Amino acid sequence: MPCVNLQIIPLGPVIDIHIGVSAPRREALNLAGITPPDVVMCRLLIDTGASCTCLDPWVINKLGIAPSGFTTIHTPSTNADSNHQCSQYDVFLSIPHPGISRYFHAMPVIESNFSHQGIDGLLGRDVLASCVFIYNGELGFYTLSF
Amino acid sequence: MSALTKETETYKKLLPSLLINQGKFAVIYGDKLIGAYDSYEDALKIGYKECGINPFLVKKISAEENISYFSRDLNTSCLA
Repeated sequence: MPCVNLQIIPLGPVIDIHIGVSAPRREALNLAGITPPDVVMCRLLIDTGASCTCLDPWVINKLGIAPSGFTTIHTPSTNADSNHQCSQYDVFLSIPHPGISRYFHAMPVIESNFSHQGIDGLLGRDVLASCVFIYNGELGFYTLSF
Repeated sequence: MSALTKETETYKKLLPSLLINQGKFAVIYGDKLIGAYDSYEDALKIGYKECGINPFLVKKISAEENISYFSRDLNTSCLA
């Protein structure tokens, strides 16, 4: 099982990953004679408190994608009786590895502002569901196997 | 407001009849149900094949809306 061992920085356990348009959208763009946008490198905070992966608007805008779904979210400031609905976007995501990279060819993400926090988004439990994540606070590094 | 306003309304209107396919992913374009598919990726493939790069909705069919939880506040555009 490929793994990365990275230092925990003051922002937390962050990882640089590639984000692009989903594989089905890439195919549709090619059929329409439109060159798909290049993948972009994003710095995401691994967040076990996030049900799903989120990306900053600059990433969504760079990929030129429109919503393809919606989901209901609950955050600390959400009232118990009034969850919010927000848009979902379909993307391609890969965790780079010198040996075997891990690819998610089509997955839904939501959009939220993170750039003021020094990250481009959150890597949520939707991705962690197929990984092993070990947080070694004592030694100041984490391991992500996938 | 989302570009998927019409599709969202269609999903909510069709939901009672869609529940026989609970757990599958519905693809909706305008007021038309294209179909229900086993996986998110399959639904996307059909959506892009049928609609091209025009906006369409992919939604997991569920009697009760699935909620995504976050331990931090998000600054996102809310639809409702």
